[in-house]
Amino acid sequence: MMHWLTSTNHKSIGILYILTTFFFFIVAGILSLLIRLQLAHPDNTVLTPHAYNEVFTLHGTAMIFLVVAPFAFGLANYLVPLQIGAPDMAFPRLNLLSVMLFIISGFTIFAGVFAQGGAAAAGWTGYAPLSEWQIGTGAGQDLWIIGLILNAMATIMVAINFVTTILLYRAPGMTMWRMPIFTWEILATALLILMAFPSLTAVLFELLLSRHYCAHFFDPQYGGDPILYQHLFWFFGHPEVYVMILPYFGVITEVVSVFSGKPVFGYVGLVLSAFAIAGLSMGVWAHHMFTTGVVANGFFSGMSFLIAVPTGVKFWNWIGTMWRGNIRLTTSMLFAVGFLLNFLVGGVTGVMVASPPIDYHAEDTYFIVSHFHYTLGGGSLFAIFAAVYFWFPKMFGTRLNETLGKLNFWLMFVGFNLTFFPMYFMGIEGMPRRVFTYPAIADLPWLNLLASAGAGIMALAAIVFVVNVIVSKLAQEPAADDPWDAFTLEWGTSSPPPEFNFHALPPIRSERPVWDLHHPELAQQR
Amino acid sequence: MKTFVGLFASSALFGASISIIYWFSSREYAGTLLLGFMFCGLSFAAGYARVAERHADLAGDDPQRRHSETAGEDVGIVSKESAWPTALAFSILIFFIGLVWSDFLLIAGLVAMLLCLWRLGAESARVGHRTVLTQDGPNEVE
Repeated sequence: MMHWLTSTNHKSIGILYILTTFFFFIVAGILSLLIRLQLAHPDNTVLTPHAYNEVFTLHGTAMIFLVVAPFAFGLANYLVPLQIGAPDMAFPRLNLLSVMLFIISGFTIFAGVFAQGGAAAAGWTGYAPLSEWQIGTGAGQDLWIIGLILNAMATIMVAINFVTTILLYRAPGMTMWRMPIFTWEILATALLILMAFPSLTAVLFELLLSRHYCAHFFDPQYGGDPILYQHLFWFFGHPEVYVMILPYFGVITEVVSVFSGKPVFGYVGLVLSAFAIAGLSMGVWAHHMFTTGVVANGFFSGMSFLIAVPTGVKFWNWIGTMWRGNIRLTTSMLFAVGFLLNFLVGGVTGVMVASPPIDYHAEDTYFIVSHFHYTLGGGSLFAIFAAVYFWFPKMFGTRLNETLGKLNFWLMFVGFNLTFFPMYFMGIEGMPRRVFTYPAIADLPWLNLLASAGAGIMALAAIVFVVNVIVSKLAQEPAADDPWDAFTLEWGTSSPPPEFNFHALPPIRSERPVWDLHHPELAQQR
Repeated sequence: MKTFVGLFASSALFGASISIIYWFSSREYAGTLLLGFMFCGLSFAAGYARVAERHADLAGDDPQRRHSETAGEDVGIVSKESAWPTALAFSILIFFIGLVWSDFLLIAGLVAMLLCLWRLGAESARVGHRTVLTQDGPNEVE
């Protein structure tokens, strides 16, 4: 226990991040099952209206701030120093502070469940004046605000660490243009965090001051402006979407490339598209505010459409990497292919709602719920599983069982699509989000039942994953240092790596140093 | 370092462009100011890298550099363990809880934060485990 509380080694911190995110993933998953149980039938009474508000608020907050984004920080903590040949992160103690603040933030947010008045219930966006008024939102909302401030601080610190490490701690010969795509994506993500998260911290402080020090930032009666909250929140909120997806673009690139047996197709294009996405994402925040009627819809719509271009470049590169490759359909590769299919659906519907006339119809309906779950659930979550199956041997020295892994994938893929695809049709039929029940009209009852059944299958997939981890750890089948015939530097050290990562670094003369080392005859031909 | 400067400079240019376009298409203050801050931050990073680090000779920037050529280079203290970051994290929590509910906790949190920062500073100043690059890779020396 003391080791986890005091170790500043990046690998321990990375694993601590990952284990914590997995804990909150289970909690958020249980909350989502409660939501689906409540919505399985019209006029259900599993949850009271207020409890439903608390449950969806905590589910959204946990998945965004405590699972999807921080899993990437954990993975990057573990991998980035290894991929660039560094002994550790640039600021190891800042790194420990970041992970501790992150863990504390999670428990602070959930401590609201035990507070008078219950947990936060104003949605993961915590819109003011709903979250500003103390009436109806008790200490739980304060704990939510404090938790998120701590979370934002932790995230900014970890971003500073990533930027410094990547820029200054690269091994001899590891030029920036030889860095693995995952490391590039983490650099783009870290810069995005540094630009976007201060805005979240500022707006949360304003909220806290408004609630306890009569600041009235968002109260029109005292000259405040509720739209200001939305501007500040979404200036963080939309880039946050890319903070939750860019690292996983990196994961998918590594997995697709290794299991296609080919170098990445269009390396430079992949790097530049990551920065194009990061830059453009800073200028699209108010597409979440089209229906307020007070933002420049044309500007934000145009910028949102533009993001589809670099994202399309990435898809082109992934398909190009697989094209005529020697494809191995391992569990990790299956999850990567699942990511491509799901993210495509989420991306295309994202382009649809970037158009204000469609957004006016779809806003605050289940169409939007489905869209963002396809990008962050079908996208990021599938990439998380791809990453776990890919790097588990490196982290723990044992491979996960492939048969159970494939069962895990198929259950997850079927369950996910069964849950979220019907939601597009619910949205088109006008079912509003964040409402605890619905009338038995049109196709809503059977579509909801289908979605709830899908959620059950996803829960089964999660159980299979846990069983796989336990079975594989008990079996202790040792993994080779490079079990996948992979490319990047982390596969050039032992599994798990030694304290300072490498006993001996291989020469770095391309973006695939380990592959060059293991295939010198082919490396010389290039 | 050239890539680093180019990256930040082009991002700053992008930030400047969209803040101007945004202002003329919306006349809205909050967003323009936020985009302006983004431009300033990125410009500062690019400028700092260009001016302050112009003589930097990073081993990672040289495509032909070998590990043996950097042997003996001291890369500083790579901390192995410390209890103070964890203590600092809890102090920050106490500070924020105090900010909302209790003046006593507010002051206690602040004092604890200062104490932790002081100890962290003292820890940094101590010459302890340093990491030195050898022909094979980084190794720790006492």
